[in-house]
Amino acid sequence: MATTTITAERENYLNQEYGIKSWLLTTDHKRIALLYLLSITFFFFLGGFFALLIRLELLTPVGDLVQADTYNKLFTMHGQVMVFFFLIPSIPAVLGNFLVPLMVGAKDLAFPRINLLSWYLIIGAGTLMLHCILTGGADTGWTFYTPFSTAFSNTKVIEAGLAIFIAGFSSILTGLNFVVTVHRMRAPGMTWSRLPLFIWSHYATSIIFLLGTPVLAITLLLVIFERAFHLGIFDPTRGGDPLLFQHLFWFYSHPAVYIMILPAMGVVSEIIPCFTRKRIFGYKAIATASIGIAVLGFLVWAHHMFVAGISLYSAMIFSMFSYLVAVPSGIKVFNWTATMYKASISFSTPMLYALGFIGLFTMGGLTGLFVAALGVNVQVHDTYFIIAHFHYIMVGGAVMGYLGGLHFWWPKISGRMYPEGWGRLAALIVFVGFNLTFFPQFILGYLGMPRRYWQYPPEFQVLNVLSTAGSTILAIGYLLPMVYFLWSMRYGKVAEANPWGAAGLEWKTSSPPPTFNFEQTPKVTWEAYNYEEIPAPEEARVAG
Amino acid sequence: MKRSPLRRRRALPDSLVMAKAREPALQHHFADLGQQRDASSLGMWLFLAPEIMFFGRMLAPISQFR
Repeated sequence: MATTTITAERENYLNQEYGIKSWLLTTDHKRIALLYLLSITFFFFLGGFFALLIRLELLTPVGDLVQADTYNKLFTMHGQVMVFFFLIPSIPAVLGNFLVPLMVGAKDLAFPRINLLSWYLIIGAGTLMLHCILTGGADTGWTFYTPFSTAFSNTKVIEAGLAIFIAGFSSILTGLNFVVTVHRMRAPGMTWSRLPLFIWSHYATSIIFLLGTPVLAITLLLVIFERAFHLGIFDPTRGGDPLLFQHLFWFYSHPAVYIMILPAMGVVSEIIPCFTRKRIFGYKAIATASIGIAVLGFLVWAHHMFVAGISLYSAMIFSMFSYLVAVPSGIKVFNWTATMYKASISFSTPMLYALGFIGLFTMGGLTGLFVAALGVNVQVHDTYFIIAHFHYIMVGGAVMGYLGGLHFWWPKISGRMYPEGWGRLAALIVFVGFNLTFFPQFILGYLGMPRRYWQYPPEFQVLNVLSTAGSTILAIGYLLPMVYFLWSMRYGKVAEANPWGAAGLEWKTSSPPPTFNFEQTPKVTWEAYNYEEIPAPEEARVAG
Repeated sequence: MKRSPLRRRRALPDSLVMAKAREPALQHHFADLGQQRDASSLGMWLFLAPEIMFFGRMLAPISQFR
């Protein structure tokens, strides 16, 4: 490496030890974060591959690439892989794992071995999922709705369910680790009101991990038992209730959306003050809003069941609670906007992703209000409007936040800078590709194209072609960062400890950090986001 | 560290806290044994939450439908 000629490389968590064993048996949270990064990147591209096949099939109105049965498996595997093996672990397990101890000033998470165990659990689950996919896969949709999944489907429902069951325990253990770390491992002086908002959002996420994920686990176990031993929990001919499954499933799976979006909000709350050089507006409001979203998230699950035959009054209550989620979400969006007001913003790559996040999340959130309205819900239920809505949240929100965070902390993770020009180009491509893919789907859904069909009436073709074209652009936008991140690990400029001039304890240690994070346990005497006290580095200030 | 209701009820003997540097039971990432014990007990208490959700949600439908 070019730098070794100038100075001997300082000891850090990457060069402390070498060899495969030092990685597979590590208890260092930073190394485990990298293990997660590798594994979920694999699942991201696997899920993306299924998405591309879906879009290719929908290029023409007739089923020519695949037939109905294969198409059912494609969207099922796309959903299962993306939701359970990429989106849910994405920010918490990669960035959260890396940053939570650094941000609170701890040497590691509270339970380092349990942290490694969570990675092994998701790898075990992922292997089972891969086996399931390679030997035929399931066709129930990622939602496993009964009675199809328990009584009628002839595919590998049990195996897919078991894989997700195991993956769930990985999340529970990660959540447990985060909560204990935030409660018990904070550095001296790091009070609750000085915690970065990234920590607050991960704390809220962890609550959902702890209280929501076990419900999914038991639900899938009941599906497996019912399918294997004809238990009669969900089967009406045996005295069960198929709707009970939807209640149990969405009790987890709606909060799961907040598992995906809350950490992304945390990332955005870190990026925006840094590139506007301002203290974040409404710190306490944003922190409270994170907890508020986590709590309200548990009270809205039946809005997925408005046409499933629940009573009008319970539908009204759930509709009202769904509207209430907009309040904390709005608080966040307005506070980020207020932070940017009259600031000198530098449009570097992480900031572009953060801005993209605000726009796309707002659109996803507002269309969420459309579908929370009882009348509109009937019109757009199970159409592409729903697909577009939740992709605006999950891809436009969570993935944009994940990529923004990855760029923002890449100097800290790898010790190298990524190429800024390519970074901005990729961010732009992702934004354009994303909107071209999913905006037409809003119109398609409004016009009545149902989800989960491999063919459609010819009048929908133009919009579907647009969407497919967008998805190929999006694919390029996702491949680019992977290429230049790998490139930067060898050829990138060596990063300083704090290349962005950012606040936060993680920037007070060297890049990459030493194994135990800090040379000395830090003592915090300043408030969070004290940007008025930190000079902006000149070279990171990109002309806006 | 701040005290909270979940913090240990009985304080560790001072000698044990003083000997933290050479204490073999102290894991590398904790400042002292008190913190280590607090973290473990909070972890165990918190682990009850997913357990309750898991088994509670299993017993509820079974008791209703079988």
